[in-house]
Amino acid sequence: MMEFRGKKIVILGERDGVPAHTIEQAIENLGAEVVYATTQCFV
Amino acid sequence: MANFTPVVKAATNVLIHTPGLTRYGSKPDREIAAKPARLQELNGRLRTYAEARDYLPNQVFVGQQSPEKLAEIARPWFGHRAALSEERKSFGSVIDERPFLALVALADPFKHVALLDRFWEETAPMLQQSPVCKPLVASSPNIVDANGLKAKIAAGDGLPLFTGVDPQAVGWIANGHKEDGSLSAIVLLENLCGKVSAALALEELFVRNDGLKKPDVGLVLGCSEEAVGDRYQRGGGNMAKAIAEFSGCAMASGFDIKDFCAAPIPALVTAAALVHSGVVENVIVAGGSSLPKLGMKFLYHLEKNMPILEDMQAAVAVWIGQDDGKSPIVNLASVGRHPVSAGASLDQQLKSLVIDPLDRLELEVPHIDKFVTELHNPEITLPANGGDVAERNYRMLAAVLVKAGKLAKSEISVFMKEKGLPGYAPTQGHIASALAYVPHAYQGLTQGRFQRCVLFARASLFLGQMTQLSDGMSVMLERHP
Amino acid sequence: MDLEVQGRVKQLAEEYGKDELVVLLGAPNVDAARVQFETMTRGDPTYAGPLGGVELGLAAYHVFEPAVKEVIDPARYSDLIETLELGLEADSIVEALQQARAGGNQ
Repeated sequence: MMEFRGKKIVILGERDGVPAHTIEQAIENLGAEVVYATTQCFV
Repeated sequence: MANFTPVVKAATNVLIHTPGLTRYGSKPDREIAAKPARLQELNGRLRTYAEARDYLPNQVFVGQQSPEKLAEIARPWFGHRAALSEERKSFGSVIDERPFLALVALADPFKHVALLDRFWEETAPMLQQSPVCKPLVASSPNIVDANGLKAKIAAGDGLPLFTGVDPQAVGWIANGHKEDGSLSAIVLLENLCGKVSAALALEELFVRNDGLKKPDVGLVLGCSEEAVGDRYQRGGGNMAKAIAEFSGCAMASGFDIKDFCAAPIPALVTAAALVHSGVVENVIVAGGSSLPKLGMKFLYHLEKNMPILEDMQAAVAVWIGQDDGKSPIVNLASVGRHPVSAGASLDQQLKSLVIDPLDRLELEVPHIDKFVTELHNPEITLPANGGDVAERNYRMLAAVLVKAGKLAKSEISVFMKEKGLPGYAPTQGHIASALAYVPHAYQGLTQGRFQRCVLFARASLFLGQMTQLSDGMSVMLERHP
Repeated sequence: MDLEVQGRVKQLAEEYGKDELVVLLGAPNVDAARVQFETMTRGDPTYAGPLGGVELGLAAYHVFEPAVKEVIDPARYSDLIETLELGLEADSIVEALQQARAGGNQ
């Protein structure tokens, strides 16, 4: 089982996939710290 | 308070083939600065005017061909000229870059642009021969002779202007201010391109609609992507009024709506609301072109031995006015908004923008003829690993509709084919965002068989790094009963 | 992968070390997911950016992968990510990354 608690998270989201904001919301309560979150947009 | 039903009275667009300006797109500009040999590579793959004009997606854009044609003809579309299968009246023109550059000089009130004397002599007659360019010629440009131009290039305080692959510069645009990046040559050039392209789309409206006279226009609403300003207010805005002035709409005021690529939808909604409430009788929503987006994927196209397809600037103009008994209605009760709580992902956006308004209006999928999303040309995006953007939107919309119980899984294929549209627009951001299709929607809702079209657009707000959120808006156009 | 993003991740990897960092990917298709995974582990396969030839060896997962899914609160996952899975080629993405992680590359 992956452990998020205490980890530093880098989120590479994508506008047409899963955006950073959504991933951040999903892992909000897991005890990890998001150190970088970005969403790419190709057009 | 007044209560006029707002309608789309006309919609037009233009494409401008600007191969010589492609080097000043954001990606080419940066790549050429890093590796100067890239310029020759880029120039080696630029298209001629005829190739660009006859390119099927471009023909669809200006209404010379219907979007259905794109499904009939297999890719690659470049290198082929699709035969016309039906008599169609286009709703826009494809403009050559030489008259366009001349207009850029004419549209420049501060005379940063100078045209080579020989170039102006050759191009002035072309302006007079074009029904949409001619009305915009109300002044003369700043002229420079060959030696003068040489001196400017040597001094380097600006950018040379080129046409096609001709290595001889035909003009110059100077930096507007030594200490102000907002008035640098590249920014001024971007803004002038947006101004002129939008004015050309407006001229298409006037040329094609006897019922619209310039003094009738009360407001121009800009919805493009540029930032007009100076170092104290980079995004001061109101390109719309500059467009109104250049177009000769003396009774119009203007303002801009800013929402990244989604801006045209809030602009259409705002225009409709202003007409509905009686504040303004006739509004023109003007989406001008984006110079920075030229050649965005050019490295991928070079790698795949393709021509440079992002050589087109595009502009759209939509006339919103009071109910005339026949024009398609802008249904203000149908507006879908994307609140903060809806987050950023596409499925949540589509729920807010498509599902919720359908529920509110008690409509189902069969009631809608077309759901109109961002219609980027897949021939441009696929080689760049960007996928088929329109198709991806429709696939997610189908998934959301299935989840909401409005569509069966088995109906997804048919849904995408019948209620969706193929992509064909140049990757000019807000232009591709449903706005490109408005002239087609107008035709479908008047001469065609459409009852309702839902337009929806999305905005990547996170690119400005002020929020991680996205945004979007939707609105439905209905056939007049 | 965007060069700016590559640079930033490189910086963070130097700051925190590869054991503390976890990279979560939200790519919409197999190709994008693969390129991102490669860049975060074995180096930028296109050699276009700061991570060209740089093996960061980071723990990188797509949010669709079981390893991530099982840790996320099911109600949250259902609300936030499930429909996206339906609209995208989720299974292909998961399969491709599992292969890539095992050292394979098609």
